[in-house]
Amino acid sequence: MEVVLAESDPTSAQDLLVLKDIGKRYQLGHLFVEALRGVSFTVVANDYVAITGPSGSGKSTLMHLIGCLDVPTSGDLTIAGELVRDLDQAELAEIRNRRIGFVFQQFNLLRTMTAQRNVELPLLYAGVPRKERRDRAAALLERVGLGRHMNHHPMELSGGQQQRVAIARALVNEPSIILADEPTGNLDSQSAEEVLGIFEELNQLGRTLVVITHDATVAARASRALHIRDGQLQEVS
Amino acid sequence: MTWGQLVRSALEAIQWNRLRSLLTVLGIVIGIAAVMVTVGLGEGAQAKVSSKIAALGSNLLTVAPGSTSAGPGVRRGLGSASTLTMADAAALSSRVVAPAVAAVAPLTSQHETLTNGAIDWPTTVDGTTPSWLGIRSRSVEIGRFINAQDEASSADVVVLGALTAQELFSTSNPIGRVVDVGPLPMTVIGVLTPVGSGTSVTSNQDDLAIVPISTAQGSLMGISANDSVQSILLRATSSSTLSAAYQEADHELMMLHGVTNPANADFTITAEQSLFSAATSISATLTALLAGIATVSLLVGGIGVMNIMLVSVTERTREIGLRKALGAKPSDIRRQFLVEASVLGVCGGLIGAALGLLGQLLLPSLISNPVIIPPIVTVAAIAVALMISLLFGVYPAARAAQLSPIDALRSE
Ligand SMILES: Nc1ncnc2c1ncn2[C@@H]1O[C@H](COP(=O)(O)OP(=O)(O)OP(=O)(O)O)[C@@H](O)[C@H]1O
Ligand SMILES: [Mg+2]
Repeated sequence: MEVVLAESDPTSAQDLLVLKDIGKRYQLGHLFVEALRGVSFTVVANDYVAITGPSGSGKSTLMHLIGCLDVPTSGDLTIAGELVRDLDQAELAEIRNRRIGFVFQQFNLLRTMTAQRNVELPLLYAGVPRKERRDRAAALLERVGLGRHMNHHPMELSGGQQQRVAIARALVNEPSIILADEPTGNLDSQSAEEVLGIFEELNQLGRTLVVITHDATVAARASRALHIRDGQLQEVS
Repeated sequence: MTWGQLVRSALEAIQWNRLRSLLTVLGIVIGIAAVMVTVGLGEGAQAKVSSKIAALGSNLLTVAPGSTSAGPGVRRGLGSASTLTMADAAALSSRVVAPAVAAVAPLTSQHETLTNGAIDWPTTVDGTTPSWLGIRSRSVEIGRFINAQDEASSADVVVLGALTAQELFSTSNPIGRVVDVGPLPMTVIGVLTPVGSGTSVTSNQDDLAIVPISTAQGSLMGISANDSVQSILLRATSSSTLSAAYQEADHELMMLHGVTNPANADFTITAEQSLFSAATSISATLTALLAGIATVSLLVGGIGVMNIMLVSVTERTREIGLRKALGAKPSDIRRQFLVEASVLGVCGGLIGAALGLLGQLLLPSLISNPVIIPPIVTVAAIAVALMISLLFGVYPAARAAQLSPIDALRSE
């Protein structure tokens, strides 16, 4: 397979995410753990990909690489036309800020801030003026059904509500890809359903999503599923 | 992120961790307050000494009979111990002979008991001339000082120190009343303004009686036409001419007394200035010592800030990881922690400065010493607090910025 580098204008790039022979090796003292071994796949715009696999198979590791939170030990990762290997810390930060919207299993909201200010965070680092930040955060919270909870702190919200705040935060800077690592893992079925509903809606509106899950029903909602076992990909359907 | 946003989020973080912030600030607060009060105490002590010395008379030289270089075999003064005369004083008053000498006051001093009816009060009776008042930097509270006419006529008049007047006349007005000075009845013509107790530097300056020197030499001592004096007070035209005045007086007196070898001089000139500079240097040493201790406490405060900022970085590793995941650059994280450290520093500085100023208000009544904190010290203290927290905030901030986002996020 040829390495396909997208055109210079990333918004017109069809292949939003290109993984080529990605490997990740962790070192624990003298012991090496091969968390990923030669993973290759491509995610195109408006794709909705579920990644499934047993515990310890390397799902989270993969997600962290795609989200530029970590760097692969081998292989090439291209996000929206940019080869991640070539980027320095500040440029990686910029990719995380503008290209990626992350939804974590543990929500990861700052407890010192209100829902609205949590959602504003990515805009803060994007240098968006205060007024616009407020408006955009408020609009998104409205959209995920939390219009009346904007000034609540995370501790005053239910798990499902917190995850919706986290989704609003992931969406606020209009990222190219939304990455979710077990987004429903800490939620009851009712809240999980709400979150999946939002994802479906986003996909219908043209968003690209990559969702990690070990729940078959969650995977079934995606356009396609990738199965990982022992750090290697096994395409299912 | 703009600086405004940084300060805002720093304030939020500080508010969120109130107790920890308080503890961080405490070290700085104590350090700053300690430095300020210390400097204030030093300055106060110096000012107190200065005012005490100034009360003695500024730029003052005292000529006393007798030699300083009185080793064995060296002949002490010629004739009696009382080698100074009115003629010496008159010669030194001359503008031509001693241009650096602004004023001259010959002085005789003796102990006498002053009596007002049934009240006896032993005190020092000084015979001198009108210029004494200016030389000693004293003033008259009520009545008047002795004048040239009293001097010329050997008038039986006396000016009392404030304490002496109070002892003899209680609260009633002593002016015009007659008091017995030893055997001699004299009319009280004035009372000196009190200068406060001078116990630490000199004897009580408010307990004395002043009479014209001619009166003292004549009727009081009972020896007529005795023109010898016990000492001569000189005031230089300014503190910078003090040594010139010293040399002029020295030269003139050697000539008048026919002394060629300085080692045989039958008089000694001492400068009060030397007392002043000794006192000043002692209190300056004290100030430096105290300031050193206070600086160490500031340093400890700074290390406290660093320690707590480091704990804060560890405690907030997840927050740092999350912020990085959301797009914070290393520089954003570094700035965030630096701004937090400096906000803490400024708060600590301000509170410390407020405490220091409070100390300036309250301490003097407790320790009966003035505390003078120059405004520049307050400003400098706050600046130092800011600098210390910046300095000690840099390392934790750099550490926070270097954390890899995923390691940071994964930590619990
Ligand atoms: N920081 C690390 N250091 C060492 N080994 C690691 C590290 N992170 C993950 N691993 C190892 O890599 C492998 C893959 O881990 P990963 O977290 O990606 O699994 P996962 O598929 O997300 O599992 P789960 O479903 O339990 O979340 C595991 O064997 C894990 O022990
Ligand atoms: Mg995982």
